[in-house]
Amino acid sequence: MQSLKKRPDLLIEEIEDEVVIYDPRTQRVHHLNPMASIIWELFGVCSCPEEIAREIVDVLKTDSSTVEKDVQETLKHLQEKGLLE
Amino acid sequence: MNLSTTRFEVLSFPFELTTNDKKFFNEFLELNLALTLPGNGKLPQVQYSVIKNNKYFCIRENGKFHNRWAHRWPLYLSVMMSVRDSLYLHLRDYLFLHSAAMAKGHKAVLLPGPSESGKSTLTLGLLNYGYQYLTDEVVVINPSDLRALPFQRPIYIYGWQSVASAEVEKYFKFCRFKERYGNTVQPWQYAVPQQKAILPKDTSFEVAWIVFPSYNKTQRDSYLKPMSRAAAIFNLMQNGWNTQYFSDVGLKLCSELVKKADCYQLIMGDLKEACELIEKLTGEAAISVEPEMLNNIWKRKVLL
Repeated sequence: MQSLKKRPDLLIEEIEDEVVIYDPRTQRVHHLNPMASIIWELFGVCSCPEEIAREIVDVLKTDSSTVEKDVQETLKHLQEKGLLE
Repeated sequence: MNLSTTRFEVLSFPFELTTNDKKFFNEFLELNLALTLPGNGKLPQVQYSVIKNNKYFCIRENGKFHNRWAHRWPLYLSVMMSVRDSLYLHLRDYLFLHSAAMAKGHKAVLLPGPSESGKSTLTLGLLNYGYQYLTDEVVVINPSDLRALPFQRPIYIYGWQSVASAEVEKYFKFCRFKERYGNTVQPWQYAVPQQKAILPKDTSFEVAWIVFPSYNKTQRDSYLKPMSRAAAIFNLMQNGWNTQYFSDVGLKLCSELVKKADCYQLIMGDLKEACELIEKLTGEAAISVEPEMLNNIWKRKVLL
């Protein structure tokens, strides 16, 4: 994950607790739900998926295995959508 | 060959139409009375020719072959769709959304959605509830003030059933025709806004509500579900005709539009209920509408 980063050309709109991303390259728009939005925010700040999960568990006081799975899946999804490079 | 030519403008964008079919010429102008204004001396940016030969009506756009039809009626829609597409392509002054829009007072409710989501059905339904027709297909947003401009094209309706109350018929003319698809002939009609329904140039409306309709065949009632603003921006962008031309501004515009409006998803299992929900939302006193009229609209549901 260390080698991946958010694409700098993406257009991002944060609204309430969600994020909308417009990809000018593909002209597609993406909507991140509240959990995916937190992961998106922490990506780049934290050094690895485990750290992102730890941050979320600390704040939300929720089950760590579910969060870890969510983080892994969200990052995979973001990568598949071409939002990370 | 006797040619008739007219220059007209849509949103101040100049077009020219030339044809050798006088009937098409007159009817095209009549059908699009609300959408077009007479040319204002500007040179046309897009020129259409509709030339009838022995077999076909052949449509050309700026001299290039566009389409051909064996019958007259498909021509109207075909040319107007092409006009619409030219606007998306050439006119960068406005944001175009795939959406219907109706107004009460100075406020508009947008009904964005892909084809067959129920935009035109709701439009016809809401006409019967006394809403002002803005469009059933193309919402035009002025980026400088985020207000919606009318795009009063004729509403294309499948079937010859009555879909409007006597009151609505004072404002719309219903033109019936048949279209041939292979070996079958299908009845269609256009609801054409008449002078009393046509909004003056430069009329615009504050967008107060954005309601995303969707049919649900599995249920019999309708309900409104509040939508998060991010989901509304996402859906609005999905229904943008030209957001890609606005680069970063497209997302910003949709975002600003959504922030100023109340956003909902409308699950439609029943048209009467759907119209009444919108009526309640927009704070208008309930109007009694004949259920038969709404049934006629609802049963067909095949609107473009």
